[in-house]
Amino acid sequence: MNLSTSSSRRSFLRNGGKAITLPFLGSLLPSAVRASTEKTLAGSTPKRLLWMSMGHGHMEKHFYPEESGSLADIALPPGWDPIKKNLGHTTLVSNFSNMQNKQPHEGSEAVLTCANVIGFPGKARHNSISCDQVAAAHLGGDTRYQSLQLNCPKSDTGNGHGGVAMSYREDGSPMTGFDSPLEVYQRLFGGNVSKEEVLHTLKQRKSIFDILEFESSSTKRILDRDDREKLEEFTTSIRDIERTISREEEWLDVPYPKAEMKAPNDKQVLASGSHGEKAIRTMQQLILAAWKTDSTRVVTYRMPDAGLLKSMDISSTPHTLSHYGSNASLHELNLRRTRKWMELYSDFIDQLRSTKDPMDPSGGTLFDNSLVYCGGGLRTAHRNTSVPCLLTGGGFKGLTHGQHRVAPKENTPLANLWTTMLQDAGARVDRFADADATAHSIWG
Amino acid sequence: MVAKAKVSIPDSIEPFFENYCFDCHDSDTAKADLDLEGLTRSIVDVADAQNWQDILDQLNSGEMPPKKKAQPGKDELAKVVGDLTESLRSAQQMLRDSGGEIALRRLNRREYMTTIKDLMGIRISGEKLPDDPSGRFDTIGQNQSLTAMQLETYFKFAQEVAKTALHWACEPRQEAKLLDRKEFANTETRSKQIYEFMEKVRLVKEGGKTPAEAGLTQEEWKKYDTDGPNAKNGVWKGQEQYYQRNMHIHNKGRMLSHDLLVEHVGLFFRTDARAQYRIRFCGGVVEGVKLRRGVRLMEHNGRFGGKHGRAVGSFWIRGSIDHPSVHEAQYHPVFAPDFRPDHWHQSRKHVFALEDKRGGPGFEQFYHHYKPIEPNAPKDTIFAKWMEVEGPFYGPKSPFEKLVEKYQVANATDENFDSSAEDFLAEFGKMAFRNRTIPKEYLEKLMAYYRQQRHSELGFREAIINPLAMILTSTRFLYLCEPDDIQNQLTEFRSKGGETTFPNQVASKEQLNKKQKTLDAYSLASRLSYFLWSSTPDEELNRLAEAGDLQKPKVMEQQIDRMLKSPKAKSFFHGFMTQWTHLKRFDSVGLDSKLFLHRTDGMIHASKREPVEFFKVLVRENLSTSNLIDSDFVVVNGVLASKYGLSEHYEGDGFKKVSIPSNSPRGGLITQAAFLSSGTMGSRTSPVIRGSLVKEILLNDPPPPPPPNVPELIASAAEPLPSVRDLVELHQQKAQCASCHARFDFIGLGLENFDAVGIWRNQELVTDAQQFLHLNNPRTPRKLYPVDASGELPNGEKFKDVHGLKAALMKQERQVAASLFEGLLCYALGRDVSFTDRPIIEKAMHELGKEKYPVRDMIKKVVLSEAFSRS
Repeated sequence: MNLSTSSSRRSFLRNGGKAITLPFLGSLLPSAVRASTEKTLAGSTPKRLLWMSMGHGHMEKHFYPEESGSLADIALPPGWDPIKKNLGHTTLVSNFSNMQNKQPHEGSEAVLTCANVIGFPGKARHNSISCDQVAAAHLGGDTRYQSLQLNCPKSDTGNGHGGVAMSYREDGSPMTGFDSPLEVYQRLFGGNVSKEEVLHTLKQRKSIFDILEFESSSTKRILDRDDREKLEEFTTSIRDIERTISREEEWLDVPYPKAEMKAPNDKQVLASGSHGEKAIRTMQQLILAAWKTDSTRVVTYRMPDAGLLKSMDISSTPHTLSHYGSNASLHELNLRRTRKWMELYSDFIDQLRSTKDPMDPSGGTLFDNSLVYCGGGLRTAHRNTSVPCLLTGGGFKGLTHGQHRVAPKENTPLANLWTTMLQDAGARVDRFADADATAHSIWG
Repeated sequence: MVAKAKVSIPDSIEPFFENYCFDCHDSDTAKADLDLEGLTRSIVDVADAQNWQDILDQLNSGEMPPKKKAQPGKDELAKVVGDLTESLRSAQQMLRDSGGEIALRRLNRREYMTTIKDLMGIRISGEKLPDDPSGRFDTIGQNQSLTAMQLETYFKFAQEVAKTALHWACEPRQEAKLLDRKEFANTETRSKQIYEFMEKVRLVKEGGKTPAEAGLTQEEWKKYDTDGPNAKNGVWKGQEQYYQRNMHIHNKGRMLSHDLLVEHVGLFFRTDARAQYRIRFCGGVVEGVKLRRGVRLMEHNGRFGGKHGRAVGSFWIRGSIDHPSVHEAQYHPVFAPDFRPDHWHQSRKHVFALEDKRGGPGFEQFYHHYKPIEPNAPKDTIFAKWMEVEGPFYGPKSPFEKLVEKYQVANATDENFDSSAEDFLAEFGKMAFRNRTIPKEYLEKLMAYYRQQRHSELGFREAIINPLAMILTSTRFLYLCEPDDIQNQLTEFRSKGGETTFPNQVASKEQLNKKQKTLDAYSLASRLSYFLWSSTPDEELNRLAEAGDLQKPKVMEQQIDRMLKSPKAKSFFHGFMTQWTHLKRFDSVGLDSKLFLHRTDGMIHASKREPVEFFKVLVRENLSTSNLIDSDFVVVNGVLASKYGLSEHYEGDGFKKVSIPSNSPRGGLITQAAFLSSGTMGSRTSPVIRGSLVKEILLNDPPPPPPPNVPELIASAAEPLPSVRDLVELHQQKAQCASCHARFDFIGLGLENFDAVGIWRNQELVTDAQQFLHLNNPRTPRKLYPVDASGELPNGEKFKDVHGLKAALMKQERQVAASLFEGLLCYALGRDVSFTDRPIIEKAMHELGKEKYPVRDMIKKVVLSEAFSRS
C-alpha cells in the first residue's frame, strides 16, 4: 500500500486497515433525508439497542458453563446464582472473539469497533467507528437524541481495560458521553428553564461557536497541510455542536416528556466521587426512561468496574482481581464481583420485562422490543478470545432465550454478532467491520 | 530516498520452524493457507506485522504446534517466543515512526493550568478540563482527540477563568501580614469547663465532700467520676477521655486529637487566588515517642462534610512539650473553577493540623488501626503551642494584571471602556496567542459580539467575559500552532543575520523530510517554554525571539539556565519525572493503611514528591545521570527521613538534600518509596512490576506488554501462603511466560528487602489478614520468610542484594543515560522517539559520556538538537 500521500494515509487510518463495507453515513442524517429504513419500519414498534460492558471478565470456574444447551438444565457455575429466575430470558453465546484486537489490555475500547487499536502508523492507538454509531446513523433520526452514550468516570480507567467510552466516531475518537446521572436526566426531561431561555442560550452558543469556527479556519490558512488535518478535530467538534444546536432547535417545540422518576442526586449516587452499584442502577433506570420516552433508541453504557468494587467495599483494583493466580482470597473477590454483575443484569431484565412500551400498539414491554448485549472485551485475565456475551430482549430475530449457544467455529468474529443486532433492529447493513456472516445460523 | 526501515525476524526461528512447523506449513503443504517457508523474514509494514503477530499469538496460546505433533522443549519455545516478541515490539515502534514529524498538539491539562497561572495570575483547579490521553507523556499530540462536549467544556471553563481573573486583577494587592494566629494555651473552652468539673471531682475524692457539696448534679457526678462505671466501662466518649488525659497541658497548649469533637487546631483566613501563604506551627512531642512525631497539614475540603480534607504538607516535630520547635510550610490555595470571588464562604480557606495518619479525623477506629505502629506511646503524642499564617505573598504581576491596570479597568465606566475595548482585546489576544497578532477579522467579530452584548444592557465587565473566553478557546491559544514559514518571513529574515546553525546537526540534508522546516523564532520560544515551564513564554523570551537572538546557541544556553533556576521549572521537574517514572501507578495501588501502618497521608504526599525533588537536585546541580541508579544522598522531608531511618541526618522542614551513610540501602531512584510502592500487586510486593520498571527506566529496554490469551498461572495448593519468590519462580515453569519474565522478574527480586510501602524488612510477612489488628489474633494465618534478595540482570550478571543490584546496574550507566535522554527528547518534542532519531541520540550520548552524563547538560543537548528546532 502506498502510504506516501497524505490522503491515502488518512483514508487508511480511517478504515483502520480493514474494510468497512458501510458507506459512511455522517454522524447525523439530515432530517429531510431520513433513511428509508425508517419508513419500512413505519407501523411496527421501533427496536431499541443497548450495549453494556462489564469491563473485566470472569473466572472460568465462576461464569463459563462447560456444556451448551438449556440454561435450566446444564450445570451452571456459581456466578449464575443471582440470575436463576431469569434464565429463560437470557442467552449466553460462546466462541465470539474480537480477532482484530491484538492488545489484551484496553479490551473495552475495541469491543464495539472490532478495530485493531494498536500498531498503526502515526498513532500509538487507533480506533474506528463503533457499531452503535452505525445503528444511530440508521435508526436515530426520529428521536430527540440520535444516540446516548453513558461513560464511566476517568477515575475508573487505568486498570487495564481501556478508556471511559464504548462508542467511537468514524475517525476513532471517543464519542461525547455522560458520566453524571443528573446530566442524563436533564437531557431526557429538560431542566427547569423556559422555552425563551433555551432559545436565547441556543442563539448565544451558536454565535459563539460561529466566531470560533471563523477563527479556526483562519488558523488553518497559516498552517501546513499536516497540521491543518490535525485541526480537523476542532472543526469536526464545532460542526457536531452546530448539529446538536440545530437538532435542539428542531425539537424546541416538542415539549420534554414528563419525568416519572425523581432527578438523581449526583452527590448521593456518586458517593465519595466514585461510581458504584448505586450509579449503575440509576443509569440503567435512565436508559429505560430514555426508551420509554423515545428520547433515543441506541444506547451504550461502559459500566464502572473499579467503582463497583469500591462500592462493594473491596479495596483491590480490577487489575489485581484479573491477576487472581492461585490466590484464594482473590478468587473469592472475583466470585463476589461476578455475582454482583449477574444480580445487576438480572434486575435489569426484570425492569425491562415489567416496563410497558408506550410505542408498542400491541401492548408489549420494552423487553419485547429491545436487543441488549451485556459483556465486554475480556474473557478472563488477559484473554480476549471467546468474550462474555449475554443477550436479552425480544428483538433478536429467531432467537429463543434460555440457552447456552456455542458458535460452531472457534473465534467467530464478534462483528458477526454486531451485524446481526444491526440488521435485526432494522438498519440496512450488509456486514459490520470484519464480519463474515451473521449469527442467525447459531440461533438454529 | 532513504531505504525503507525494516525489522528482521531473528534466526532462532529457523530451526524451530524446521522442527515443528514445516510439516504442515511449508511451501508445498501450506495448510490453512499458511506458508511459513515463503513468508518474508522481515517486517516493513502493518501487513507483515500482522502475519508475524498471528504466528506469535498461536505460539503463546499453545494452540500450535498441535498437541498430537512433536512439542518443543520449554527453553526452545521460550527463546523463540521471547525473540519474536522483541521483534514485534521494535516493529511496533518502527511503524509508529512519524519520520521526525511533530503533530500539531493541544495544550494538555497541566500546560493549560500553568499557562492560565502565568498569563492571568490565578490558580484554579483544572479537574473539569478534558482529560489527556494515556501515551508515554501528556505532551504527545498524536494521541489527542477532541469531542464536541470537551470543546464546550473548554469554553465554559474559559468563561470561569475570565470572570475570576478579571475580579482579582481589579483587586488591589494586599500587604503581607499575619492573617490568623492561634495560641492554644488556656484557650479551650470545653477543656476549661471540664477542668472545672474535674476540680469538683477532686474535692469529692480528696476533700471528702459529697458531690452535691462540691456542686455536682447527680448526672454530672455519674459522668465525671473517674472511678465510676462510665469511666470503667469505656462509655466515656473519646472527647471526654481526651480532656481527662490532657488536663495538665491546658495551660501550655493543646494536644492534637483523634476525635472530631475536640476543638481543632487550625486556621481560617481569606485567600487571594494570585498569592501563596506561609503557615507556621509550633509544637512538641511527648517524651520518649519515636515514630509518632508526624503532623499532616490538611486543607479542608468543603464538599464532603467535616471529615474530609486533603493533605497539603507535613512536619516532623523535633521539639518536646517544654521546648517546642517551630515549623513552616508554603501553602498555595487552589480555587474551584466555579468559585465566586466575592463569596465570603468560598474565598475563605481552612487549614488544620492533625497527627499524621490516614483517613479523616473524628473516628476512634482510625486511631485503633494506627496504634500498633508504636504500641507503647500514649494516645495523644503531639502538642501544639501555636499556629499562624502569614500572607499574601505575590509573584511578579501577570501580563493580564498589567493589562487591566493599563486600561484602568477597575475604575472605568462603561463608556470609557467601550472606546478602548478593541485595543484591550487585541493586546490580550497577542499575549494569549504567544506573541502573535490576533487576526483583524477575528477581532472585528469579537468586537461585534461585545457591542451586541452591551446593547442588551450588559455592563462592560459582563460583556467582555465571553470575548475573553473565546480568545481562550481559540485554536491559536489551545493549540501550539507553528505557522508555515511563508507567514513568518520577517522573523526568519531577521534571524538570518545572526548565528543560526546548531552544533548538533547530524542528519544530512537528504535525510530531512521536506516537510520539516526550521521553526520560526516565536514557535521556538514557545517550544522551549512549554518544555521547561509547561507554560507560555515570558517577556524576555519573546524579546529575544523578536530580536532574532534566541536561535544563537549561547543565548539559548543562558536561557535554559535561567529557566531552570526559575520557580516555574517546577512544572517541568514534576511533569517530566512523574511520567518518566510511571508514578501514575502509585495513585492506583491498592494498599490499605489499616494493614500498612506507615502509609500515612504525610507519607503518601511526601513519597509522590520525592522523585521530583530528587530530579530537581540532579538538574540544578548538574549531577551525573548515574545518581538515578545510586547516589550518596537522598532528597527527603522529615516524614520520609524517619521512614528511611535517617532522622538523625535531617533537620528543618521541607525537602532537603541529605547525605547518607555508605552502608545505607537508599539513594537513587529505585529505593524511593513511591517507586517501591508502585511495584506492588494487591497488598504484596511485585518483583515483576518492580523489575519491569527497572528494565524500562534504568536499562532503557521496556518489556513488551503481556500477550493475550495466556492462561493465568495457578500454583499448587500445597502452600496457601507462598513467598513472593515462590510466586515469581512459577513464571519460569511456563515457556510462554518465562520467555519474557526471565528478563525482568529477577531484577525485581533484588528489591525484596523493601516492603509494599518501601520500608526496610528482613523478613517477608505473608498473611490473608486485611488489617494489622487481625494479627493480634494468633489464629490469623501468617507465614514469615527470611528475605532472599538475590537475583540477576538480563545480561546474566548475578547479585546478592540491593547493594549488588545497584552495583551491577552502575556498570550500565550508559543505558540509564540513554533512557533519560530519550525520555527528555520525547517529552520536549511531544512525539515518540523513533528510528529517525538514532543519529541524534548516538551523538549526544557520545558527547555527554565524556562528563558522565550530567543532567542539566543533557537538557541543553535536547534543546540544541536538530530535532528540537524543526517542526
